[in-house]
Amino acid sequence: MDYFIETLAAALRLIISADREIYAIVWTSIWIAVASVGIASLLGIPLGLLVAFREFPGKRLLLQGLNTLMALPTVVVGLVLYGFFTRHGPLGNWGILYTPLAIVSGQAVLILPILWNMSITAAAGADPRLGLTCQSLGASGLQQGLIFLSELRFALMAAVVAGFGRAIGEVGIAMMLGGNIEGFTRTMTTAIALETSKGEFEFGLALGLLLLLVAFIVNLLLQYFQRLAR
Amino acid sequence: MTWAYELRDARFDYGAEPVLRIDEIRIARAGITALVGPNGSGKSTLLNHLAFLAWPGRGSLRFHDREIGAADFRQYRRRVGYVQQKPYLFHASVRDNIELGLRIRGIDQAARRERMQKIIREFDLDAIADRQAHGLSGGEAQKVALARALVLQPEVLILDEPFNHLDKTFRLSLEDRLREIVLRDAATVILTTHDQFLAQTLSNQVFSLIDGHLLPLAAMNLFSGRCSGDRFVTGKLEIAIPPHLPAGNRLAIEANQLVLSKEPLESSMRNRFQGRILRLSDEDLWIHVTIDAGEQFHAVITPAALKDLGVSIGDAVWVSFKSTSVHLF
Amino acid sequence: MKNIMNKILHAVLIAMLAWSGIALAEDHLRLATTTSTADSGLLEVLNPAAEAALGAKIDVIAVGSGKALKLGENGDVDVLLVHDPEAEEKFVTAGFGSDRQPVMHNDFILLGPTADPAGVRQATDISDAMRRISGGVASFVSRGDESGTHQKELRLWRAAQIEPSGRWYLSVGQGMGAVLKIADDKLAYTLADRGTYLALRGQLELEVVFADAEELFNPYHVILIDPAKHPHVKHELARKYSEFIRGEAGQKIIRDFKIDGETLFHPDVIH
Repeated sequence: MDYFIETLAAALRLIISADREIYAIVWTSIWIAVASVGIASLLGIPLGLLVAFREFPGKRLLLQGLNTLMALPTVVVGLVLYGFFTRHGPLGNWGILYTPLAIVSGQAVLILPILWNMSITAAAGADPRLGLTCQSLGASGLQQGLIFLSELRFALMAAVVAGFGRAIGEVGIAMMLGGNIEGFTRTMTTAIALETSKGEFEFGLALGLLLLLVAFIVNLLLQYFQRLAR
Repeated sequence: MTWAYELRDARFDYGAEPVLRIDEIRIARAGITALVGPNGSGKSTLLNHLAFLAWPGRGSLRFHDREIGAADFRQYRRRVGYVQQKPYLFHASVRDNIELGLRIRGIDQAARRERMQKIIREFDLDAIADRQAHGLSGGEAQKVALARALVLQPEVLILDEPFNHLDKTFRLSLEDRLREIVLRDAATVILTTHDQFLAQTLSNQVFSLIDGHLLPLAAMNLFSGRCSGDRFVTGKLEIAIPPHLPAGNRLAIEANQLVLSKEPLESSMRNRFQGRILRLSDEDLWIHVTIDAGEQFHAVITPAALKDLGVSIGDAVWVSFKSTSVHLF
Repeated sequence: MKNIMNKILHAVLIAMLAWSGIALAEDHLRLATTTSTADSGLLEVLNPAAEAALGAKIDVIAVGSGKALKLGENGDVDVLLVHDPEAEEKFVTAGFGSDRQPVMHNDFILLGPTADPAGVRQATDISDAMRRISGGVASFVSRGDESGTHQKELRLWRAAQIEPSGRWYLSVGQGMGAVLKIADDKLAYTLADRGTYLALRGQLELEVVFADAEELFNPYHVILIDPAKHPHVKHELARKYSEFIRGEAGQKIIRDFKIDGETLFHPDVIH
C-alpha cells in the first residue's frame, strides 16, 4: 500500500510540476484526437443528415451496419489500415505508417460510424415541422442543411464529444499505426501501455490520471450538450 | 375575377388510403379564402400543396394563370408565406427567427434592417425581440411566426388556424391587417378555421373540407344515406335531388340555402319539411337555428329575420330548400 | 430449446470448473524473460521439455530485461532469464538474486535498409558504425524500453561518444519484434539480437549491415530470486529449471534450435 501511495504522490508531483515530457504526450494525444474528430465530423455529420432525410433501398441495412460499426474494435481498424499503409501495402509509398497522420486516419475511421450514426439519430429526433418550416421559408437544399446544423447543434456537439472521447481513450490504433515513437506518435494511451513496462510506474500513473481527467471533462461536456439538446 | 389557384382533378393518397380528392376549385386572387373543416379532413395536405410543399399523386395546378409542375415547386415556394398551425420557431432569438427568411433570399443588410424594424414595430414585438424564441407563450410564438411570414411580403399568405392562441385584441387587429394586405398589396390570403362564422364574416370565399372532399360552400347540413332515383334516402327523410347528379353516399346543404317559415311556402322549392326548433344561439352577428325535422337542420339567419319569423324554442317551423342547392359526394 | 441451452450452459460450467481445478492443482513456475527469447521461438521448444522434467507449468512473462529485473525485485516472479550483464550484477549485489549462471549467448547485429544510405557496411569498427548512423541520413529505431537490447544500444552510443537525439532517433518503447517491423517500414537502422532477427527475417527487408564485433556479444543468464528477500517464491522449482536449461537436455535443445538452418543461440555450459 505504501508503495502505491508513494507512486501516486510521485505521479501527482509530475503533473503539478508540469513535466515537459508528460505534457508533450498529452498534447500529442489531444491534437491527434481533435484532428480525427474533425475529419470524422466533416464526413459523418453531412452523411448523417443526408441518410436521415432520404429514403433509399438498403437504408435499414446501412443503419444496422452503422450500429454494429459503432463498436468497431480498434485493433481491427489498426490491422486493416496497417495492411494499407505498410510499405508493401497499396498505400505504402505514401509513407504514412508510424506517423501521426496514420493515427489520425485510423481514429477517423474508428469514430466515423459514431459521428454518422449519432447524426442520423439527432436528425431523426428533430422536430418534424423543422423541415417543412425551412422549405416554406424558401431554403435551398444547402441552406436547409445549414439550418439543420444550427438547430441540432447541441445533439451534434454531443456526437462530436463522444467521438473525441473514443479517439483519445483508444490504444490499439495509436500503437499499431503510430508505433509509440517518442516525441512524435507517443500518445497517453500508448505511453501508459508501454512506458510502464520500463518500470516507470509514476510516469504511467501520472498519464493515467490525466487521461481520467480528460475522460471526466469529456463526460461532463457530453451530458451538458445532451441536456441542452433536449 | 382572376384566380390565384386553379386545382383540377387532384388526388392525394397516403398509401392506398385517399386523403384528399378535389374535382375542381378556384381560389380568388387578392381575396381572403377560408377553409373550414375538422383536423384530419385533409386540411394540412391541401395547405402544403398550395404552399408548393407537397405534390399530388395526380392532378393539375394553375397558379396566377400558369400551369405549375412539380419541378417548379421550389421556385414558387418563395412567393408564399406559410404559418403552420403550431409554428416551429428556430432555437435562436425572436429577431433571428424573423430575419432568417430574408437572409435565405439574400436580401442585403440595409434592406433587412429596415423591414425588420417595420415588422417588429407593427407586431409590437420590441419587448421580446431579443429573447430566445423557445420559451415564448403560445400567443407570442404565433405572433412571431406571423411576423416571420409577413416580413417576406409574400404574394400568397397561408395561415393554418391563425387565431387559435391569440387574444381578442390581437385577433381583431390581425383580421384588419389581413384585409389591408389584400386591399393594399393585392395579396391572396388562405386560412383555415373551425369557426364557421369567422369564415363567413372574414372571407370572400368559403370552402368546406369533409373527409377529404373539398366543397365550395360552408356546409352545415350533412346527411348520409343513398340515392334512389330522384331521391336521397337518409332513413328518416327523403330529399329530392336533381336528376343526372352523380350518385354519392353523402349529401350537404349550405346553411344559408335553408328558408324558414311558420306556414308551408307556396314556391317551386321541392323540399319542404316540418320540424321543431331545438336550439337558438346568438353568434356575433348571426343567429344559429337548429331544427329537428326527423333529421337535424342548421340554418343561419339575421336577428331581424328571427324577429320577423316570431318563433322561439319548441315552436313548429317549416324548412324549405331547392333540390338544386344540394351537393352529393 | 431453453432446456437445451440450459444443459449446454451446465456442461460448459462444469468443464470450466474442472479445468480450473486442474490448473490450480498444477504447480506453476513464473519465469520473467526478455522478448528476444520469446519472439525467437526458443521458449516454445525449451519450456515444454522443462515442464515435463519439472512436472510443473511454466508461465512466461516476456518483457524487456529492465522490466524483468523489476518484476524480480518485487518478487512477482520466481526465476529470470535475461541479458543485461551490468544490470544483472547490480541486481545480484543488491541481494535480490541468489544465484546467477550463464546459459547461452548470441550476438547483437546492426540492421539497416539494403541501400545502406549511411554507409554502415564500410564502418571500421562499431563506434564508427554508430557515428555513421547518427549522421541523420536515415532514422534509427530504438527499443527505448530499458530492455537488455536497449541498454546495450545506449552503451554503444556512449562508447562512440554520441548523445542520440533528434528527428532521426525514434524511441518507440516496444518489443524487439515490433521494433524490427517499424525499422523495416521506415527504412531505418536498428540494433537487434540475432535470434529475433533470424526468426522474423522472412517478413523483413532489413539486412545485417554490421556484426561480429566483440562489443556485440550478448550473454544470457538465469537468475534465481533470493528466497531470503521473497520467501514465497518457488525457489526449489526455480533451481530445477535453472539446472534443466543448463543441463545436458536443455543445452542440446538450445544448440539444436535453428531457423532456416541457422543456429540462434549458442549454449555456454555444454558446448
